[in-house]
Amino acid sequence: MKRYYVDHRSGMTKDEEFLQISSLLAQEGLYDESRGRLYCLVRRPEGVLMEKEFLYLWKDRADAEAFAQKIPHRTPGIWRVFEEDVIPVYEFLDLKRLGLPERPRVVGIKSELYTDSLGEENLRLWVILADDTTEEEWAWPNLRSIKAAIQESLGADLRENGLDLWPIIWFKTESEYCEEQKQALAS
Amino acid sequence: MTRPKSHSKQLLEQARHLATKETKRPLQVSLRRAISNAYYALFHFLIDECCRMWIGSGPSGDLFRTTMARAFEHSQMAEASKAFRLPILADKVFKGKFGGMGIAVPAALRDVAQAFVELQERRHDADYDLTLRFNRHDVLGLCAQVEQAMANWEQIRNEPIARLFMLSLLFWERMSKSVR
Repeated sequence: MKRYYVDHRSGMTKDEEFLQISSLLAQEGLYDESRGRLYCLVRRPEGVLMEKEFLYLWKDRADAEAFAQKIPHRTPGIWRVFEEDVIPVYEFLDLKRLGLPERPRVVGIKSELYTDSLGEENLRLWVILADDTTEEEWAWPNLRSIKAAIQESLGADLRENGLDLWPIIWFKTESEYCEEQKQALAS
Repeated sequence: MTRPKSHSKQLLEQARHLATKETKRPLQVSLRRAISNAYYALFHFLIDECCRMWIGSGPSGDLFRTTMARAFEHSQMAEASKAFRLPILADKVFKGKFGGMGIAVPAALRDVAQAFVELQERRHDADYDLTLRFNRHDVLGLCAQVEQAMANWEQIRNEPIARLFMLSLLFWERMSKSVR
């Protein structure tokens, strides 16, 4: 699957850069705040994965390059256009395609690439459950159903992309996740 | 003398105790130790099963089992377990006659293998990554996963594939083709 994107080599978007590029994207009707940032895996030539965060992905190289031209050249040399194989994990984790049970209600899934205890790259997934999840709904058989649905669907998508990953799944509530994000930003 | 199998169950009970001991907001340190205990419950359970298979369960084997138990390594057990998570053992996994046989792995054993890999990862995070925060229900889910793995093991422990799994837990590096 070929996609095109504007990449920032620093890895994470700084707030100032985020505002600048999201504003440019918004002017062109390309930025949809509700989608949030897009986290994708990118295959490096040596086969090592890295995780990148994007605001928008282009499928047309000319469009991507045209957009890159609008970014001020003095932005500390970090904006470039690449052509790579992107593995859009955020699409694989789209709640609509995972076939999850209705309850407990999953409100989002966030992913993170990390190195496991054996030194291999893997994904860590945070499955975010609604704050109104009851004690009964937190029961293991329910969590197991969610885990199984994600592992089956995501595993198949990743294998199609040549990746044999077995993500480690964590569960959190929406408020816990938001609180942790706030603390991370504050620090 | 307390038998190791009871030891596993005690560890799991203690894991649940730690995860629920604070009635309202659980201390992160309690949840971290609960995960560690849950992992070690499964770790010692599997080792005990292996030792009993090779040495027998009689009291005359106590010393031998205790000695053999020290030979298991966390990383080897995890590597072996990773191979047993698939419905069919990959052809390239084993040297010798087991290689290329396309051996089916029953769901109960796949669950045991998956639980071991997951719990070991979570235990590693719980012990070493102080930036992560844990949810009590999630931790109790891990305890239930360990309990389920132990129950699943009872279903398949006498199957030939379970014997191969137990061999692999101890001798993975020498049996598999993925030798470093």
